[in-house]
Amino acid sequence: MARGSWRHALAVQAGTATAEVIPTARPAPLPRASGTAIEDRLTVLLVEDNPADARLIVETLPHDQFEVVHVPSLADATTRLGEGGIDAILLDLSLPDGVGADSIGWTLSVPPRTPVVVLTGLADETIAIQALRSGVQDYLVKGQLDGDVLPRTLRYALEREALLAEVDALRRHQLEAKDELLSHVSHELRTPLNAVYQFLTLVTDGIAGPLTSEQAEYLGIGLRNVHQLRTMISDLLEVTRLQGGSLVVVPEPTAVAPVVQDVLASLRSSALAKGVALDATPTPDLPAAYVDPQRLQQIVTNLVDNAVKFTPGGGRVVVSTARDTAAPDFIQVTVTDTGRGIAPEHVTKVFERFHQELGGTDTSRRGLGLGLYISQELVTRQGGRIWVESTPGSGSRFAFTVPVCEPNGDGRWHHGEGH
Amino acid sequence: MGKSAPGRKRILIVDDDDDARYAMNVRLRASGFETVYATDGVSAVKMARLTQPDLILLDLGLPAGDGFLVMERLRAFPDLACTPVIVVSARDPRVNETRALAMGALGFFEKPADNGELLDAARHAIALADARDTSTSH
Repeated sequence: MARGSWRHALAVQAGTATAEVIPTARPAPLPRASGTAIEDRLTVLLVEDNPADARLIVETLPHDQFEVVHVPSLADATTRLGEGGIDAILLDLSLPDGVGADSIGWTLSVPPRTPVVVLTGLADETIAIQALRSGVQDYLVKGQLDGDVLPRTLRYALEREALLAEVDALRRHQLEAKDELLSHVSHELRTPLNAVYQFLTLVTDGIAGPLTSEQAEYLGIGLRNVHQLRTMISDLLEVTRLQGGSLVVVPEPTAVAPVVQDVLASLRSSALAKGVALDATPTPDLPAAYVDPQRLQQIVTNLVDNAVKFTPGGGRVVVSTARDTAAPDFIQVTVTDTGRGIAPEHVTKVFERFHQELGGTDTSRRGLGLGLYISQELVTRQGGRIWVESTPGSGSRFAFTVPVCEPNGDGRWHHGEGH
Repeated sequence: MGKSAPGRKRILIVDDDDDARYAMNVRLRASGFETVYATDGVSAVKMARLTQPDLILLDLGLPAGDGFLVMERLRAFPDLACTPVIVVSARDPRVNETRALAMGALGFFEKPADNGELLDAARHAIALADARDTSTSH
């Protein structure tokens, strides 16, 4: 992009994206599963094993408004749903192949936007409330059904389901728009940042002639800030992806120790510059982990970078890798520093978004407070967990786990399940 | 057979950002390369045909045909189909890297790219192409 035009492009793009984030018109209502309108005749799937109860319900529902398809079991209901054309489901909670919690579990397999209303006896109202919490639209107590309540409940359930779907679609749309906007802004920010980096390094690399030590020092500070800005842009993008669900993690069999070594090698010179030693204590014969290698590198980089930031000169940061003694299907990576530690009231907050722990030993190195939040998300999405232990005054110990990946006898890979 | 005179390798820089192109040009020349440049998708292909570079450093967001289209067009010319391409772009690598590599790019660098790593990759790509040319000409 030509010089000077980026600011304009940014403004234009921000304008368009805002229009997407806050739609001026309410999006058109989503069509129902079967394309019915509120006044159309509805097809209701009645899942009820008691013939007398079933007959009563069929008779209660006005025939000009409702067509009832009756099946006696969850298995039959699944088959019938597969054929399509069902607008709503009336589900008895005590069936031969599903009682209470089983039936509630089954409702999760119902096609989206098909509301479920459960039928209970007086005694199992607790389970009915449990059903509501797992997405069932409403519940009715058998024996209290009359010609008004049943049709109205079904109509309302259908309406609520459609509204929910609409809200959900809107939310997804907003997240996508935000993702797109940030991706664009990030691109536009990187272009001038790139030029600053390129020209600074032309000078620091001596290509434009020899430098005095003072000039080298000043430009070095400039470069360090360029790197910081680059990290911030990446972190912002990453957080948007985490929230929008577009973050991709691709686990594969990965040796952990070499990844740790790479991270330490890349951070060692800046750590040594402030007098902090970096060391690794690997365990021999450690199995491979089932983890995305780039993500693993990102997590370790975040933790080590953070540890260095809060460790004064003369201190030490050690990364150890070993099998998790409590959960042997996991490998535990621990980053221990000799920094000032974290106050007890902050220990639970360090993984929160935008949390800033003040008093780093290097005050020029403020970040966005996103590194640990991103690390936590990346760890949990790969089945592991992350935590911190700290003694104020003597240092912190950040640890995370990743699942072990070992070849089975049959040559296939298996890996530990989540905690 | 190397495309340019032995010893001095020619790199085509394709970037529509004047400053980025300027800096890259200075750096590559200081590192002993000969440079040519193009600022959009059409002139990139034209310049590649005309100058037969040993390597192309290709930006993705370009006027008159983006970097992907440039790669596609290059593949249509037998004398350019094997010219190594390294993508240097400010675009999101998560989306674009896989696509660029699938289209035959040897590497993907996100701007601002580390100078040392980019130069290493450039030298490596040229050496690979040279080795391949030598083995096929015997």
